[in-house]
Amino acid sequence: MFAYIIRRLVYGVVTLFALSLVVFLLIQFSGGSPLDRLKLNPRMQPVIAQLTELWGLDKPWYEQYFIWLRNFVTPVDVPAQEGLIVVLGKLGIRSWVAIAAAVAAVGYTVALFFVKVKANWWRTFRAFSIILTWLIAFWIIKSRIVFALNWGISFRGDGPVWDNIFGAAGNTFRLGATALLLALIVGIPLGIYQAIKQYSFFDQLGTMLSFITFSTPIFIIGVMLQLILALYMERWTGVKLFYVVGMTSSGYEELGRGLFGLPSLAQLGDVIQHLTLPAISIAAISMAGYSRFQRASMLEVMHSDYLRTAKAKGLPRRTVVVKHALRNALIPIVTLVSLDVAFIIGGAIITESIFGWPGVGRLYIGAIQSIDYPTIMAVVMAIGAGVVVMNIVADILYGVLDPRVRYD
Amino acid sequence: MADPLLNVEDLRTYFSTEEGVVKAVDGVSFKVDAGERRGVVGESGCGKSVTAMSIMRLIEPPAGEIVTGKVEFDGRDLLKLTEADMQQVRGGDIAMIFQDPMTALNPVYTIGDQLIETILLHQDVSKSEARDIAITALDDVQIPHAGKVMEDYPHQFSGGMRQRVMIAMGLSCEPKLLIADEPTTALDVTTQAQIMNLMLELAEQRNTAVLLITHDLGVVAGFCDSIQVMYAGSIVERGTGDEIFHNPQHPYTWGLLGSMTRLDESQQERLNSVRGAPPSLINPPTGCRFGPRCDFAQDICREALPILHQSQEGQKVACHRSDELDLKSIAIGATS
Amino acid sequence: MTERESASEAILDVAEGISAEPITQWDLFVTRLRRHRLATIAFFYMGFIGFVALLAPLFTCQKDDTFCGRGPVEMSGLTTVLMLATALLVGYFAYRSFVSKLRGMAVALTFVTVVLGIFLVSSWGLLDVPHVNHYADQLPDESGRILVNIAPRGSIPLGTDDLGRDVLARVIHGGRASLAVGLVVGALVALLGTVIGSLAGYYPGVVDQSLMRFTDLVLGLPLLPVAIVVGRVLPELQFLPGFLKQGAWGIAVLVGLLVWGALARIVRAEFLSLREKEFVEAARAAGASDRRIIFRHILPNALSPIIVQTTLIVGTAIILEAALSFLGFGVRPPIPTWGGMAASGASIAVRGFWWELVFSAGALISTVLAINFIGDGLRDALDPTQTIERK
Repeated sequence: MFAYIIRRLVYGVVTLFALSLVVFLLIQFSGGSPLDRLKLNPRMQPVIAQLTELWGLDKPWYEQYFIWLRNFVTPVDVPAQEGLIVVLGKLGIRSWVAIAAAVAAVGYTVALFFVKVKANWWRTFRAFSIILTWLIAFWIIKSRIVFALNWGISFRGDGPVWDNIFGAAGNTFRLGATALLLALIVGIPLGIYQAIKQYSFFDQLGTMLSFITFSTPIFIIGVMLQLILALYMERWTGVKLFYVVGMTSSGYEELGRGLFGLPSLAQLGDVIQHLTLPAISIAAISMAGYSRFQRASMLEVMHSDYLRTAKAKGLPRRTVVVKHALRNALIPIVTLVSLDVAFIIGGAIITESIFGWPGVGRLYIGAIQSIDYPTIMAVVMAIGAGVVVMNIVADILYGVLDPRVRYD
Repeated sequence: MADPLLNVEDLRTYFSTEEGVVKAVDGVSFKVDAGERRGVVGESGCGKSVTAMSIMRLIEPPAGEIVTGKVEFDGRDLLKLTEADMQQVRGGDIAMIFQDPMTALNPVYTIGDQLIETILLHQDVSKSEARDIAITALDDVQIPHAGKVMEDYPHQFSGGMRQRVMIAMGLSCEPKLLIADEPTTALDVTTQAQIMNLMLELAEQRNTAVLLITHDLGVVAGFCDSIQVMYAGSIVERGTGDEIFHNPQHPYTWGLLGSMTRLDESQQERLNSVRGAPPSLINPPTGCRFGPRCDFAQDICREALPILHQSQEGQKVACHRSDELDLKSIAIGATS
Repeated sequence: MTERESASEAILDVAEGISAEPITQWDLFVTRLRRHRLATIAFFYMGFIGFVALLAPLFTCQKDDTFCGRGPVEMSGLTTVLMLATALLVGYFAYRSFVSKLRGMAVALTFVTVVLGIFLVSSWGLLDVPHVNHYADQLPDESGRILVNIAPRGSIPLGTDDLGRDVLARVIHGGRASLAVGLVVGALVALLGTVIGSLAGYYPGVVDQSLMRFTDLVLGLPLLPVAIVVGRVLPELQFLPGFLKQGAWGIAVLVGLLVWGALARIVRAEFLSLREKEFVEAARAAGASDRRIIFRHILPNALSPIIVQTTLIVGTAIILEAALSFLGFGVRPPIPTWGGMAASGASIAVRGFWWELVFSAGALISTVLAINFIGDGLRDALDPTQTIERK
């Protein structure tokens, strides 16, 4: 298991290398060097000399690539030449706490997989405790984080890329996680219900609707929702249910804070009014996919021999479905969800540009339009890394859920 | 004579498909006494498994439906029971073992979980008592280290061991009838014998009646008190093992026997097959359903459906010409 | 019961072993496909779309073109009806010949000819940007004013856009980009996926490992972000030949190069399981060469998943192209594409001019839906293990 994860990580790193090289070359070979573009931007005039020296923009492309690569993994505040070991020595105490938390989380995860207890409760406990540990670790890392990697300065003059991306990533996470959750809690029960009521009117309607949704591009869903549920609805009925641009209204802060610095109810309502439509746009297609997949997987299980055994034992239909069918039918969807992460990020790129959501996607589109190469590279790498990590997480989760799976 | 344990009368189970209604079981009647071991033999698709599933009421509507019939078990008509009462019968009074042990156990629960679940369902015991019963049941089917394997998952077992678990699960609630649907088909030959002997022994100890469904005449030969042969949804011949094996009255039985490898006959003899393929169950041929494949068919066989009647030799047979034919004297399969 | 129906009944009889008349795989396939009613309609619909897109230059043209008189405005009347009628007729006859006597080679040849025809004409149209400029032309009324944002009405059935261009003409032309992408991606994916997948599946060891690592690499690339980068820089890439820089060609090749991975994996898995089968062993024992085994024994058996998967990938590719065009990194204006029209349509729909958005979106959705139905129908029809008893 451990060796398997390591191997997957190595493949992931290789993929990221390839990804960075492909994107880097594409940008290099399109109409002139980054330096030429940089010169066109009046906001960048004062720093051109500094950037040229730091990024080797006047050097051949392969040297530029290695400079970029080295910078990419190097924390800032430290001259890039000094290397990683020296850098660690210069980190403050808060960074060390964060690193310690990360190491502890990794250690705990690994340690748990060496404890051999054969029982269902143990598998469940292990899964949940690992997730909890990681959540806590991330919380510590997030609040203690003081270092940044040298991902460069936006060529559009928007400041450090690291800060931009981490600001936007939170917003994209809010949108993507909501969408994923929505797709899961609607799509899966829908598929299960369809399988139980196979061939019923509801089943056929559901199949038809998922087929149509599945064939609809995300931008059409987004635009239609925006027009019908927000603009036209307000125009026709005067009711403003949803907002179509941004994450919060301009008067968000005046809505008042709740207890312990948490958002107040009014603020929460405002957030939901902004979040709903983009989240549905992203979720709709995944939802259709999940329900179709879940229906098929549930049907397969329903026709399986072990379900017949369960019925022949005299179990009530409810127990048969809930205990014996569901557990088996839910396992394969883990893989689907992990593969879907890339799709949801893609959906977020499109949706964010439609709904003016200040996330990674909008950052990316803006950067692409002006070929802001540090930002493009950083966003692509962040997305690639996210996908790699999610796939590994899904594999681990699969192993936890299905006792038959063993990774060697 | 005491009332039979199981009394099936004129059972008809149909499946509706796009092409028409498949009459999988079409008028089957038979009785099984307490402690009796009954074999049901026939080609695949002849309705033997559907008969078993119908007795357990495991036919899933809307595709399949028990159209008419009566399944009396212990004096109660199972087809008239509520679903809740039927659940008590399933696994409690009638247990069932399936063909493929590799897929018949739920892969995500341990053997122990699945055994205990059954026991708790049908017996009024505590969880730890149920665990003890389960371990005893595993011991009974000769699984070594029964206490330990309770925590194992099905994929850690071989096919034979899984079938033992299935038998343990079936017998753990002391059912009166055990329906075994091709229990050894998926196993290799040495394991087959072990499993059959085990079942024979356990059923005898507990006086459990067994309904053994198989296409393998060799399996029923040593195991069953009586045998019924099914063809295209109905019973064509029923009698004791001796009667069926040594004096078949129906040409189909006779053909089946001819297709069987036998150790007690000379090596020279060729194996024979019953020519043709089983008929469509949507539009069965008129008259005797075996008619088109029968070497002895005459006009009457094409016109009227023969009914199961007492033959002169003692067993029951559904053939117009059983009394005039002397199949025993014709070398098996000689005409084909 | 008509004669045709009883013929297909006979085929079913054979399939179920009821009667013993010989039938071909093709008959069986067509019969099964015909039972999937939606797939049948979808086939028909795609033939219609293909025909319309193929002949688009004939039906819509420049306003001062003598052939069409005043161009798009006039075409919307009688010409539209004529065009639709011809398309329906052609589609119907193509469908009839497809399901009945024409078989095997003949059908394949017809298909290839039609595909090549669409290919050539659409590429000719898309390559020569000045030539197709007519669909960017604006509609003037009698007094010479430009008719901007006109709602659908008799003479302009789908209205005009914010530049006064006829939406129907643009929807028809927009289909050419989508279909070109569909065809190029389909061909490219089928080729790359099958070649790489079968090599990896047939030659274990170094070949398999290196090819599959490469496939993993391509599959690991986040599709949309990478496609956006490529779409953005495509017109500026110095080393590309001119025709790839503009129009749907470059986008089609780009998408094709990104999405073959899934098919390669499937083909490899098929090959892995098929090469262990007894009939392959038998062929090998009989002294067949690798080439013969691959082409005569394994590939025909792996064909169904290849066809089905390719169909589904084509649907995805069309959506991807539309998304790129929507974001402005695909086919650039003024060349009309459904995605691009949805983008400009969305901006004017805010003011209540909904038609450009609705009709371009409708065309896009219905086309992708039809492709997905075809994929679904093919899956059912090509699966030899599928039981007849489906209700």
